[in-house]
Amino acid sequence: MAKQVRTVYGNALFEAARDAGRITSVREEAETILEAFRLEPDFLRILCHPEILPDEKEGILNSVFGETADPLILAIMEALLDKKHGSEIPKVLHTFVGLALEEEKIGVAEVTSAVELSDADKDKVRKKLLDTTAYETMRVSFIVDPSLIGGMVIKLKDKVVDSSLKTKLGHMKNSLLTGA
Amino acid sequence: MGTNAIVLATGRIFGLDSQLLFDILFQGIAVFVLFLFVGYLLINPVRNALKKRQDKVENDRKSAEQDKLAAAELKTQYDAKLAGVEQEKLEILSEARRKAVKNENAIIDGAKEEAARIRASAEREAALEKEKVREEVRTEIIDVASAMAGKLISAEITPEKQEQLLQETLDEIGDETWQNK
Repeated sequence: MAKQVRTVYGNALFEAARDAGRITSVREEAETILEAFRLEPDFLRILCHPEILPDEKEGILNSVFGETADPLILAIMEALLDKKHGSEIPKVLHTFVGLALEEEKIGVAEVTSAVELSDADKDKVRKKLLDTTAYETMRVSFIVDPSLIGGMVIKLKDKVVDSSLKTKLGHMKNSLLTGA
Repeated sequence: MGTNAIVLATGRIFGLDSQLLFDILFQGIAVFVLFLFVGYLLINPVRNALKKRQDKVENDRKSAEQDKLAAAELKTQYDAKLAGVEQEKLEILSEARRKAVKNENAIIDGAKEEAARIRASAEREAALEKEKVREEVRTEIIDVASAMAGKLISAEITPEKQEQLLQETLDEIGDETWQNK
């Protein structure tokens, strides 16, 4: 049910933004609002609180985002509050951002390495990802995890490339344990 | 004084004369008639009584003989029964012994089976426990070896090696890497 809500509303917002020709601006605002929700979790709790009336919630929403947020985002958040799906707002926005990034051919990748990569290495990784995908821009977040020992793990959408020594050692250990 | 008067009247004390003979004869006849009369009157009752007595004795004798025969019959039966009882006793004892032996064998067999089952179970458990311990030791050795390998590699790995691994990883990535298969 929750998955359906986020898919339906996320798709609806995406379609509306695309029809209005404002995918990038709406996506950027959605990301800003998501960051605000992340930094101020109490704000989302207020919007989901059962003892606060929907009209009051809409008033709070308008007073906070009314003058700055895109009307499409404001409308979708109000619709979610009306339908008592306030807690789904971040997930709907996430779904929308994912769809918008795909539309804008912006890839989002997460690269975890055992040691801090140099800027040159980061560029190499970024370039490789751009060369092997259809994305025109690539957002890459680099994470350092010494437990990997060596190599790295690249996550792109639902795909993972794992060349870490930690995983290789794990495979070797499993092979020994299973006797394979 | 009286005796003297009789003697004086008859002139004798014991005179064997015709009178005496007549008296004796008369008295004899009288006695005979008396016997006949009494005999006539008493012979039948006495005879009947004797007859009854005889019959009774005879009946008693016959009854005694019958009782004796019955007793002999009973004794025979009793003896036969005793013999039967003896036989029955032997059969019961034999049956009891047979059953006892059978029960004994059954108990022994059951005990043997139980012992075999317990032993098999114990052996199985011991084997499982042995296998479990072996597996635990093996897992422990592999864990330690894996951890040691990780430590050794961590200590040995150089920035050049890291760079090489990075390059190898990038070289492995192709267009098909991100496609859904």
